[in-house]
Amino acid sequence: MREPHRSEPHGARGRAPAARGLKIRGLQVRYGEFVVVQDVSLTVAPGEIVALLGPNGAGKTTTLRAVHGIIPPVDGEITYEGRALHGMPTHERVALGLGLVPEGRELFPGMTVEENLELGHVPGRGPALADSLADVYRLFPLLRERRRQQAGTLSGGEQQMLAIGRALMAAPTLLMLDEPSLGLAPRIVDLLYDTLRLLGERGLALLIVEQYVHEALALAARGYVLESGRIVLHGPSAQLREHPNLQQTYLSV
Amino acid sequence: MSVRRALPAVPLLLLAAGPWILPRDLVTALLFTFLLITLASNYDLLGGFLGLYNLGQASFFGLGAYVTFLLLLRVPLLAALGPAGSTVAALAGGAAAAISAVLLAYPLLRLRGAYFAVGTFALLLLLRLTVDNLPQLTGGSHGLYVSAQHYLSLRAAYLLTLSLAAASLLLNALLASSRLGMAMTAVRENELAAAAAGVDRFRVQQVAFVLGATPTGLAGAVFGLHSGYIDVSVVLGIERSLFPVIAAMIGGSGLVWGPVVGAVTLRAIDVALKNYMQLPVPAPAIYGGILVVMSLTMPKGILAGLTRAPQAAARSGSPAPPRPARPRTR
Amino acid sequence: MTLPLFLELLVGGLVVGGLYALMAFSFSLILATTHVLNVAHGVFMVLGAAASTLLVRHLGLGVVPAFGLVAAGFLLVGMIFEAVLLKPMAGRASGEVLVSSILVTFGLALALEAMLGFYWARHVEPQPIFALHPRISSFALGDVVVSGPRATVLGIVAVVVGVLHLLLTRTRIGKEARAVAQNLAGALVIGLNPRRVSRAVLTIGIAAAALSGGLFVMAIPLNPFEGLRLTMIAFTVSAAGGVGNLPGALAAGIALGLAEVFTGFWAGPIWSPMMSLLVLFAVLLLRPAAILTGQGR
Ligand SMILES: Nc1ncnc2c1ncn2[C@@H]1O[C@H](COP(=O)(O)OP(=O)(O)OP(=O)(O)O)[C@@H](O)[C@H]1O
Ligand SMILES: [Mg+2]
Repeated sequence: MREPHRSEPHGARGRAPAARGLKIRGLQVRYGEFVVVQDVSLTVAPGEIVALLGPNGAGKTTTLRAVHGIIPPVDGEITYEGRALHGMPTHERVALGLGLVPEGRELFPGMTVEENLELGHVPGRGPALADSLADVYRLFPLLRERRRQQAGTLSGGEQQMLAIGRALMAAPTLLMLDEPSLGLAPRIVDLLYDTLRLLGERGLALLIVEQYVHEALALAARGYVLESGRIVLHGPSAQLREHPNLQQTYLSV
Repeated sequence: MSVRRALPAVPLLLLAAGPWILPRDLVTALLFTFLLITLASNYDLLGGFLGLYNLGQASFFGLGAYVTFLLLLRVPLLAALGPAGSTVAALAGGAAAAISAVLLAYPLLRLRGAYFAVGTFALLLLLRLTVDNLPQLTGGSHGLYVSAQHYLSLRAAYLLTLSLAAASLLLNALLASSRLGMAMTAVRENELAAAAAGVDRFRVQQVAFVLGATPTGLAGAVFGLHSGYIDVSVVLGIERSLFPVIAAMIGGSGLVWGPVVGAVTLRAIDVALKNYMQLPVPAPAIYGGILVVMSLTMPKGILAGLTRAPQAAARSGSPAPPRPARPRTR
Repeated sequence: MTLPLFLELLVGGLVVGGLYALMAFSFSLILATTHVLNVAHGVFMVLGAAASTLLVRHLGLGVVPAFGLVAAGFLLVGMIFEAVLLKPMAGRASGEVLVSSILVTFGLALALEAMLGFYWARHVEPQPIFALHPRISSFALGDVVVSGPRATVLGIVAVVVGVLHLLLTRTRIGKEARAVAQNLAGALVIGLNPRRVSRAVLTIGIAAAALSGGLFVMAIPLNPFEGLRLTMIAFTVSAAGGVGNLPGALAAGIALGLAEVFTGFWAGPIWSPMMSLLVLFAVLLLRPAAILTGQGR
């Protein structure tokens, strides 16, 4: 709260005159009476990798859900590629290029791995179904091995890969990931982040929500820190890593 | 305060004089309105306060009527007692409804939301089939008659149904402001929180279930004794079960006066349809249509639409925080 | 009991059970994907029976073309049903949809039932009974004579169930429907359009109910006021078999069909409907988990 480095609502300092990419301005979200996200502003330029950090209950998931059209914000403006998203249903946002790998993964447990992937494909958008499938299998060879297995029987790490693969099937241009490393062994987390790095190198923009900041900040160019629904810090990753408050709050974990 | 509380007593006294001052047709129409008010407010005890939609409210009505008739027909002593016998039989009918509610609560209250609605409706169908299939006992589709000495006069039936309606409303009003009523609201708003605060969900719902079944059972007994004849389609009819739901919805579910407004509206429509309008559509189709339109357009009912604040407050207050639960001795 | 008699009852149970399964599966698919508990489902079945009777008995159509027409016609009815009654509920919480859908479809069921009985008695025949008596010759399998109409019903049910199965497992919209039933949140996140899915499911589900009604009266006559009882059966079978589960619905439907037929044989036909209600209570009380898991969270 008493943070000198407070972000300004519109402070996308020096970045491209971004009509492109994701822009959030003055976002406010409530559950009933509770204001959960308060005056949040952030941007993700095309191809950029950005981390959104913060403790439990800070409002990270809520922010992503508002961007994806799952809950309506009370106030604020969200644009993607210059289009205002207000009131737009989720399936149209997906068609615009937004992808979300949600908290809890939200797979279809009684369907096979391949069926889960197929459902992620949006007919008429991006490469054909077979090509998208082949691409996801190249990225996650393990999923090809398990293509006939029911998603509900996968291990945690495999489920996370499937959730990411399923989101990639829609050929997103910005992929939002909600705590992708949650509950995974360190070795698997490394593997996961290698894949994310690869995706970033291909030009896919990423907005990564994490509580444990090491990997996220190593990958991201910039980061935001959310606390009690407000952005209390933001800046280049290197700078955030050095920041005393962040050191104290998270890196010790 | 107490003056305001006593205010409903004035129209009540006026109404009680009805059979002596009003034309016979109107007295009969009011009698049926009181019956509907009784069933609707009994239904709403669960539907409005607990969010449990009992689509089989008529089960208790039919049970009360059948038990009364069977006692009078099968127990010579009661038959010999004349009006006193009728009284005992009618009270037994009400008791049968209450006891069956106590017992039925165990299976039915394990069901939630839509499943409770399905379960209660299936119970009504089951009762209908049972009565149909046991003609030696129940008269089957021919129904049952009692002898003329047991008939209730129009005046007596009128006063009794008026009392039942008034008692049912009073019950709902008292509950709305009592500890039990608050526990009920707490259970509806948030079952887990209520349980955490020590409210015994099952017990609260069981009490409500019994309170909502008893006047309905007595109403069935009074209705049967007034008409002298009962059968499945009359006392266990699907419409008999549906009307209370529609009345509560039209008037405003969860509001003490909602069932009154709804019942009067519905009876007025009924009288108009039967006597003054020649519509090329059967009456049940109209009621079905009303239910469809109401639940789509005005799910909270007329009363809630007209008067906002005072009634809403009478209902539950704001989402009431679950009360400290264990009943402390005062 | 002699073997031929037993086999005859068995076939009777299979016919009834197969039809229950068909109707129940369409009911439970609607419940699982849209959270609409369609109380009017059995009434649509009765309407299908009435329409088939009208086409075959009074307009002289063949049974199969009549069924084709009924299925096609009720696709349209299903679309209207969705647009008029259920669209207004879109966007409400699933628990709320469940409850208000009961009230809406209950009202609809009563209205449709009353109109059907009323107009049929006025314009078609004074005592409305829906029944088809197609002239399909029976044939012998060993000692057992299999009734032609019953065999035809079984054949058509098998085909329709097969088509439904392929629809659900092989087509995009079928997979979307399963996805929505299994995990609505997941379906929303990846950009499926739940309205599109519920429109498809309701349309097809109501056509399937109507078709099963037409098939039903080839074996057993119906009157206009049996719709709600049939809905209860649909509910029982789908709850016992697992909501949205086709093999489960088949198994439960056939089990119930057999139970009814054999109860009818031993205790008298008036007790068969009671049997199914008792089974409903048993299922409600013993398998609440099956009902709940099927309908998401
Ligand atoms: N459906 C809901 N209803 C009411 N409050 C909610 C709901 N979902 C979230 N909240 C509240 O909103 C706040 C922010 O939740 P959110 O899930 O966005 O946090 P988060 O930053 O993602 O936390 P975590 O790191 O634990 O996932 C929390 O206080 C939470 O309790
Ligand atoms: Mg979160």
